[in-house]
Amino acid sequence: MSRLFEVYTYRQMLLSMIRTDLRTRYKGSFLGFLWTFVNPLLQLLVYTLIFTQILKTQIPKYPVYLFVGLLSWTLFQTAVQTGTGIVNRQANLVKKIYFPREILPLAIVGGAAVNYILSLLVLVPFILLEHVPLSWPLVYLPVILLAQVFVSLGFAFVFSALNVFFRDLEHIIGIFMMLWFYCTPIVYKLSAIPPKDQIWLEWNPMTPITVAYQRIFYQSASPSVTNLLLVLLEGVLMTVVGWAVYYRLSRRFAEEI
Amino acid sequence: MPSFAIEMRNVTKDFKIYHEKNTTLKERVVYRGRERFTRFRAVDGVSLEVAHGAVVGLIGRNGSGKSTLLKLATRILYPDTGVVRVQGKVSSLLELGAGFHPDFTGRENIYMNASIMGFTRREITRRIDDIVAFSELGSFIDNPVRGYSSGMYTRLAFSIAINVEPDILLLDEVLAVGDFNFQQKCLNRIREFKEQGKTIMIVSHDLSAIERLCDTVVWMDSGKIRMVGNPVETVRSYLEFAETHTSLRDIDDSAVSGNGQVSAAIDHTEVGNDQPQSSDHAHDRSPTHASAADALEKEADAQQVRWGNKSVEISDTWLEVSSQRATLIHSGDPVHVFMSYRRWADVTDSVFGIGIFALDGTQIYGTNTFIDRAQLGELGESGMIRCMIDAMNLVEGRYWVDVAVHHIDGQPYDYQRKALYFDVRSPIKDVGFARLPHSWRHESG
Repeated sequence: MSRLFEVYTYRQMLLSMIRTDLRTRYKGSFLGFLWTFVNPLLQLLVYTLIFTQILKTQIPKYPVYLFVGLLSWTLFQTAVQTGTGIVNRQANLVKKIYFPREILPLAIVGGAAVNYILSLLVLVPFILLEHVPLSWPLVYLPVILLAQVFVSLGFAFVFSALNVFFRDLEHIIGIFMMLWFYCTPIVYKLSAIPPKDQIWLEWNPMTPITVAYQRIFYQSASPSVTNLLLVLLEGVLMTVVGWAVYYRLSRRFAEEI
Repeated sequence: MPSFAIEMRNVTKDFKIYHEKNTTLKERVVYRGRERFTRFRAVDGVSLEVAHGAVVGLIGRNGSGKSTLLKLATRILYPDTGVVRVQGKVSSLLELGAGFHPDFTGRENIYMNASIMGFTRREITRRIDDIVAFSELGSFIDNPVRGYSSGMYTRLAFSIAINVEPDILLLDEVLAVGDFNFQQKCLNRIREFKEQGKTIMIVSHDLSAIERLCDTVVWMDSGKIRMVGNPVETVRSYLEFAETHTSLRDIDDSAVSGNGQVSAAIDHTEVGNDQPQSSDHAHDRSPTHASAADALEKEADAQQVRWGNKSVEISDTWLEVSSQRATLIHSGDPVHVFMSYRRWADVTDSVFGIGIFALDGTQIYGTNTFIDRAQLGELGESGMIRCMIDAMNLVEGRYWVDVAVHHIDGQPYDYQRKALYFDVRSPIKDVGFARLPHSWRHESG
């Protein structure tokens, strides 16, 4: 609890870091923040071509289905992958100034979340263009996002702290994330998996989250409230455990990096 | 509530010094258990209490654990054993401009940097005018800091740290910022802090500044506290200890800031590319800033320490006070500067000279046997030249001496920069460089 309080007193730093992150990413580039979408848009194009033209997927309005999953995956991937290296990248700051070290992964996850919210500016018109109705289940969006932020935070805390001691982790995570992507029902539907194998995907916290996003944006239906609450709880637990691990290890950051 | 701002109980901190650090997973697995490192005890069982409102100076040789102690106080490092307690808002300045973003303007960086110290936007907005004014950056404040000279950079960083009004201010070797005026301003601000009852802990090699600012001085040696006490006594003990153990210049060359100008009086020749940068630029090239650049500068410095063709070589230089060798001099003492020489070639018309410099590179005085029309006669194979100064009327501080021998037309035989350092102690706390002989009188009516 006292950690929370201290992080709260440093809230200005958290905000500055998120703002710096967003600003430096887009400052001086012509397309500005649209660049964030180039990657998912390109993925969208490639996967749409493969799955509609070659593999003949049965999923109707496939681009919408895909785009919803891709954007939420982008949030998760940015948070975990850039989060892993954050302490090492900010070595100069960590070695020279005291601040609650938790700010670093918090800022990365916060930045990714803000980016996701901005990306809705592209997603929503896209959905409407494809004649998918948007309706009241959208009220679940904040809860889903919150659950995802907690899950991402849990991973970011643990990985960024471990990466100080094992630098390979950053590369391993890169490969791992690719596998993880295919273990999440983003390009395919969960129902395409034989029921007895689905259990494997349910270990993945990104599965209920992705499915929930698809429910509200693509099917205009409410997500399973139990699943949502479960994953929210799971996320909170991961954050608490991750935070504790991170805090413990953070005492040795300055001498190890 | 404990009445100490900083309290340390039996604090120990070890560092692992890796011979080859295995940080990748492969190395960890392959060389498991074979990781070779030695433990280095940087801080060894230190207990220290700093009361609220105290100004404490930390002195000691390089590697004695002063900076580690400061990092423990800021919670950048945590002790292996023992307890560190800190009460109040800390602003630390261990390196100037850590966390500056080059693309952002000075003003944006003020917000960024102060927020890293835990201040809210409102608190920063309330002080931003003071910070900008203090930094003397004027309209540059709205330019990106990438275009700043390192002097501007350090002034901005210092202005932030010193104007955010912390309860505890921790400074590591950052007193030598900017030009003389700016330094005075910083020292005045530190004094104001002191009057407001704030706690300050300073690590510095600038012993005279330490002596003037601090209430208590802690002398660290090999990770242990060797002495705690009043500034004058502690600094004196430290200097005396240093004197008997190694020559002063081995202890802390880092005390020397800026490059001195070669004495025009004792060196008529242009030394060409070797000419050290003029001290006019010293404030733009502060040595406290980047450590890498600093190291390079020092290296360059070391190379320029001596030049000449050695037709005549100055083999040793020392000072004597009443026929005793000394590096600690009391202001007003008669001092003899000795240069022992060896002549290796047939030369005539040799000129010997000395120059005395303050640590910031300002030349206090320089003269030579030619200027003084001193009749030395021809040089033998070897011998001694002595310059007898009737009264070393310098104010308190550390100084260095350049010595040189060259031909009367200017060709250098042996020029040694920073041939030796000496400290001047004085009970009279006058300021400037030299005490001009004077007295006071009042005539009324």
